[in-house]
Amino acid sequence: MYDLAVVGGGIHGASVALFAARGGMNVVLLEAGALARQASGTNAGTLTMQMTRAALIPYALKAHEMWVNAPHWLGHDVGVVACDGLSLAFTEAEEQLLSERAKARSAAGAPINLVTKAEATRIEPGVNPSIRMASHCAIDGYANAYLTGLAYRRALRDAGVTIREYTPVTGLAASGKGYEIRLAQKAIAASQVVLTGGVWLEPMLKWLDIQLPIKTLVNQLSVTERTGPVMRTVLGIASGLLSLKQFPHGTVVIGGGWQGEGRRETNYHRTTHDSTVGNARLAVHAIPALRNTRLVRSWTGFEAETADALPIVGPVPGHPGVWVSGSVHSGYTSAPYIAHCLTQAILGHHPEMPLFPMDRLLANSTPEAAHFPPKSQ
Amino acid sequence: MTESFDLLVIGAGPAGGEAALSAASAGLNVALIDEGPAAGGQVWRAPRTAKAKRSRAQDPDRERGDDLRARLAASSIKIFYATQVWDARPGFRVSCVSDAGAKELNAPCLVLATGAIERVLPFEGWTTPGVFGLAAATAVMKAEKALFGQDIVIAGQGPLLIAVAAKACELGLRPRAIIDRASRSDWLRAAVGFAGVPSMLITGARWMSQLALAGIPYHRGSEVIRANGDNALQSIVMSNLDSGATEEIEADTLYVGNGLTPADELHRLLGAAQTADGLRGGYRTIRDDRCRSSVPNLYVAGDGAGVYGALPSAIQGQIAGLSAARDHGALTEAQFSARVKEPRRKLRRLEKFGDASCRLMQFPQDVTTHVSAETIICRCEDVTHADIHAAIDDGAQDLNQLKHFTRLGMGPCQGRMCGLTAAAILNHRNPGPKTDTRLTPRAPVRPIEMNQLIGDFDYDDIPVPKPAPL
Amino acid sequence: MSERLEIRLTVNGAPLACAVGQTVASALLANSSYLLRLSPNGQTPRGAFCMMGACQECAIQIDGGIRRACQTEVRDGMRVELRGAADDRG
Repeated sequence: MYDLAVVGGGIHGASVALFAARGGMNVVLLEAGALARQASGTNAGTLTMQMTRAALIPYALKAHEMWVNAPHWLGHDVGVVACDGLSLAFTEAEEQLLSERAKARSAAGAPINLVTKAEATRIEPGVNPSIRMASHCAIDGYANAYLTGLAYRRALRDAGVTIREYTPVTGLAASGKGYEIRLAQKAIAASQVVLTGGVWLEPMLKWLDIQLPIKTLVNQLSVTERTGPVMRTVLGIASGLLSLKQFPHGTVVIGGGWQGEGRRETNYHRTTHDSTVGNARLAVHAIPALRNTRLVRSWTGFEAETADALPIVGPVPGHPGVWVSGSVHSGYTSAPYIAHCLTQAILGHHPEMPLFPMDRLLANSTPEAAHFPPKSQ
Repeated sequence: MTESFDLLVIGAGPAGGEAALSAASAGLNVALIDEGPAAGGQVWRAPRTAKAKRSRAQDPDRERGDDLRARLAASSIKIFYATQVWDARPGFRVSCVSDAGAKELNAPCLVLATGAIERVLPFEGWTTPGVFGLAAATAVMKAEKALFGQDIVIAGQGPLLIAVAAKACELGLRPRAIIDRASRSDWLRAAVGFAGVPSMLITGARWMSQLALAGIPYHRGSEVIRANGDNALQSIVMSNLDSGATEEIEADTLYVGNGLTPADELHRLLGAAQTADGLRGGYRTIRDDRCRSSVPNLYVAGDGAGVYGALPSAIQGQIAGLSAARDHGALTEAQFSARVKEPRRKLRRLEKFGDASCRLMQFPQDVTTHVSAETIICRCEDVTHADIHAAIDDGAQDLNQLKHFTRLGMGPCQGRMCGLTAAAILNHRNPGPKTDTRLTPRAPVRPIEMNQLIGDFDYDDIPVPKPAPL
Repeated sequence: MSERLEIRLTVNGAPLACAVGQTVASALLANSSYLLRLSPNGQTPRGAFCMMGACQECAIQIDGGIRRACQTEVRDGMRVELRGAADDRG
């Protein structure tokens, strides 16, 4: 009998498992595939405030600090680089959008300020001279997402978590003082359970007869071959539909949430012609030197989104000891800190910052709950 | 830009060229796409320089290629040369780039005839400039009637070894050595299969006697274990597979190859079912006797679906083209049966020859047990044999994890050169079933030049989706 | 019989004569230019390898972009730099 079973080995599940084990719990982490190989291993790794929802900025700021210090608390390298972030405006409409968004995010605590074309060009000499203005955030950066699985695997092993990869969970039911987690072959028992299944949270919650629609986004990304230096910042545009960065080894990752095609039910997802060309054009428009590079790979990953595009992090109503964490927009950035807060609750402490209970999204939710999230302090 | 056809054929080698011709002859509106500047593929490659074009040497591959190119030129087929396919989606929608920019070609039926690439087993120093694939030699000799190097060594396994050595002699070169993994008895076994196609057996025997007459040292049951040199090759070290005895040979150029493997990225991207098949180069795409894959309206022919060689490939192509025409309604069942009868008969005979060649090229199971820790396995990312073992020690259980842990396969060749080798190492360390025995195929199937992909555009024309929620 | 060398490239600024129909890779190899670039990770010397477009070892700077020398036909006035995409020597 485990103290805690975590179902879903992405960054949310792996972080909760890690912190709970360090908090003294006997933890098993169950993952249908390999650790951090879905959204957590395939996202762009951007650790930015400029694409984070305003309500999540306080969490993302704390998480950014954690990412930068990852060697201390995680103990292993995820290739984090802290650098300047710029969000660009090329048109008058984008200037307007940029100003509004910078204002809202800055009100939420992100150190974002608008800068002139000259200042933006000083910060990012590679930028297209046709920009009109930019918003700048000194707290930005990126991790190397594909290293997430390796880094967490080592940390989890060090912390004594039982890692079970390629172990799909087929059901969950109350049993004795805890829960029975059904696997293909047999079942395991745990006092508490955390569901961290990303887009698969919807079918997971159905195990408990809870209907909660989770929208599946199919985000696509591309990467160039290793190339000489072309940029030094994390770049976006006002609408949020571009994320661009050059890793220390020279590859440039192009993202921003352009949609591929796919279905959660069959775990089929792939890029489209138009999104690949459109996203690449936007990238080259931002950093013209990219025109002389080659694109070597593109891929897709699922991102989960609730009806109000805000996270579900907290207890599952009616099922004491079952917790959920997911649908965190810019979830990779905020994950370590959100997991830290959730683990505090699981360990019986008061979380440092409020969680995001799912009650607001359930059919019988009360009007007060619908006003979630609480204002951050 | 989008264009629509009844049938798209990817690859204008023997299989693709014949598929396009047979489908067009049945009345389909066909487009044929190839990366090269002319049809023929690797084996029936077109001459490119004046010297190669005027060469009068007897060359059946050249004659077959010229014949294919002439028939294609006289056909109604829309041919896209110098056009690189970088993605294919069900439907079928095929993404291409060329100097003219990116375009999508659409058709309800698709024939994949993508051919094979060469496998080279890694050895210490195999990244040294001056070390080439064996097929590289044939490519240059066919296109330019030339071969590079003064002191050349020819090594590896399979029938290509003899062909390259004999043709190098015809060009006036005198290879310093031929180093063959196969033993004399391997060749004798193969000869039984070659007997099915007497003309090929005679050609092979002629090459062998030419080499013997020229006194070229021929080392059987041996392989190259090291290439020495920094910026250029200086010598190679060969080792006898049985005795382990080594010998160093001075060389400025080494041509080395260990057989062929299907270029099946598009097959896999489209989800066609495959099966492991060492004889066919690693994996073979499953097809019925009409060249239909497991994906509806997706036909596969030639070495891209499993290595048989050029002649069987051409006939598979004919059958695939007729099969697509039949399924598209351009042929009745009776017409189809009448037209595939002769090709099917020929195919049975030719496949025996193909089998014999393939047996000589089969990938050994113990590919890297003797390879040093420092040997580079993934050439693009300089991932060494030791790096791979360290990742397995760290818990990598399958090939895609190995990729994430080491960057193996993340470089521009996308795992073409190292994938099978890495899988063999993984399998040697962890026998038993695995989730991913191959790297997940991704578009673009080969690197694309950004400039070709995006073309000229105005910012206002980029269809930027609506802003993400604040 | 030798080829007529009608095409003029520049390789790192120096002229190179080659024949119509040659590829950039074969023109360089015919001139004994085996070293094309350094690998981006280990900075190890690399030359053309598969000569059929698959291995990407011969991808060097041609007219400003990164192209596979073995798949690129020579053209008068073409500018070739013996330098890979991430190879910042000189």
